[in-house]
Amino acid sequence: MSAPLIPDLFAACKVLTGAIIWVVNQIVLAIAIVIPPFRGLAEWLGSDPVVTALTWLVVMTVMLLWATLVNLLTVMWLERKLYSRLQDRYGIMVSIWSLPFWPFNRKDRPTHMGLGYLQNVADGVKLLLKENLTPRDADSAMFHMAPVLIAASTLMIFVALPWSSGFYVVRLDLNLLFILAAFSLAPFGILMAGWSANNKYTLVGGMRAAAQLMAYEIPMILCVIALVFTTGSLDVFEIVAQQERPLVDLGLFAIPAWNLFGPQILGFVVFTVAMMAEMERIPFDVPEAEAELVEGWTTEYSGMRFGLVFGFKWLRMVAGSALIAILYLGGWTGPVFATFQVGGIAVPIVPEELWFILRVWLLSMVFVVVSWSVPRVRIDQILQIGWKRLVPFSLLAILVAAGAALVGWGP
Amino acid sequence: MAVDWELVAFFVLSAFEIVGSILVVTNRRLVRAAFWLAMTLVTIGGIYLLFRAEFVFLIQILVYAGAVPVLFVFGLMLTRRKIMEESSPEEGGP
Repeated sequence: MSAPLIPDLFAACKVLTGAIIWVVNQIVLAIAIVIPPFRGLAEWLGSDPVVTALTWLVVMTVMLLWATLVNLLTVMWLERKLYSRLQDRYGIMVSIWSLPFWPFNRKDRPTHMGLGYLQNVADGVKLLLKENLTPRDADSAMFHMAPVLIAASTLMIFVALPWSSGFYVVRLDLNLLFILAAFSLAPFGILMAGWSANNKYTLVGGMRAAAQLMAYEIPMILCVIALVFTTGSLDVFEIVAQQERPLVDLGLFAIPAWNLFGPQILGFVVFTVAMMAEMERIPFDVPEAEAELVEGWTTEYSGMRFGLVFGFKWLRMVAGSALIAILYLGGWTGPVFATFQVGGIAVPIVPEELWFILRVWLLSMVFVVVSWSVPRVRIDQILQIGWKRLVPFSLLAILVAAGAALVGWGP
Repeated sequence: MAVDWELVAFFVLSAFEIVGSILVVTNRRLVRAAFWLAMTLVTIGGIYLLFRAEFVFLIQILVYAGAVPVLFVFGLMLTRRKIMEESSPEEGGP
């Protein structure tokens, strides 16, 4: 029974918000000495509804920074290093000592033998400084709205996606359905981006992406239906809690009762393949087959708008890996090796968050290894795999799950 | 004066929905009409949310916002020969 590092994100953020408001109030009260009406402003800022509203903003900001600045950058860096190793080269190695200003411009440090972790930040800064072009015949309003829609629908996933039993923004009753609904908004934004740029490559890429994403959403949701036969719940917290007990006790260690072990194995395989297509990773990346369609539906975007639509693919990969980990791989449950005492409460050294991001990042790396070692399949083959293989297999998974639920065979 | 914010939200959503549905049938560019249809369907989902029907709202988003407009655009792509703007020959390059 592991414990979360952050037992309650809202309470933690409330302390942070209180501290910020206290600092602001000191400044406002200092101004109020000169201009007395400002005293009312300080009282309004300290009142309970305002603090609660601001706390919600802080909670969402914390989750945004956690998802993009920690997970997105790390997964992008891991992918770049890993596929470089697969191609027998080092990959990004520029170290922080190559920055041209103090305190980094030290002559005695090697500039190109580092880990290259900040390379993605540098690429982002480069994209921010680039000009934002709009094609002449483009539908300007929709061209500019599509990246916002894609980014917003991707970030909406993280509203309901928990990172541990305490580290989440909001706990909805139907959070699994909410995550799937937020996932399903993407084809619309992609089609909008592809059509509005008025370029044949983006149009073909957008159409392919929409066809592929819609085709693979069906087996994905059918697999979730099969899973619900076992769990009986659409609440991801409940699904993870059910996977916490040991399945087989081998003395030294126990095999946990993940949904993967048992009748859901077929659903797991179908769900993972469908999720890989949803992420537009390489065996299924005809939407941006760079040999035929320059950059797919992102061709006409430039500057940070390109950075948004391109980088959010990795964020969708993180979200998809997290969803697979929650549904089939036990979520944030993990063994407890050692605990230490904080004020009489035993806190495990390895908290739930660490088990969860370990699973998410390892799963992302599995996707990376697969996508850099297999060839791309054609669009007609993709749709055949989706409609003629995965949909029947997911229906079979529902049948197996229903039969298993009937005879009481569970993980 | 107490304001019934749910009523305000209902009126705003209804206004968006009515304007969107009028634009669906009057817009001359059919792909744009399909995208206006998406806005109409999402605002209907918002009204479901006001009725405290979260499940219907999520299914509305899952089915109607994600899939139906895309299917309409597919239909347009497969039946019409041109859905893109064409540059006139004198301004476009070779």
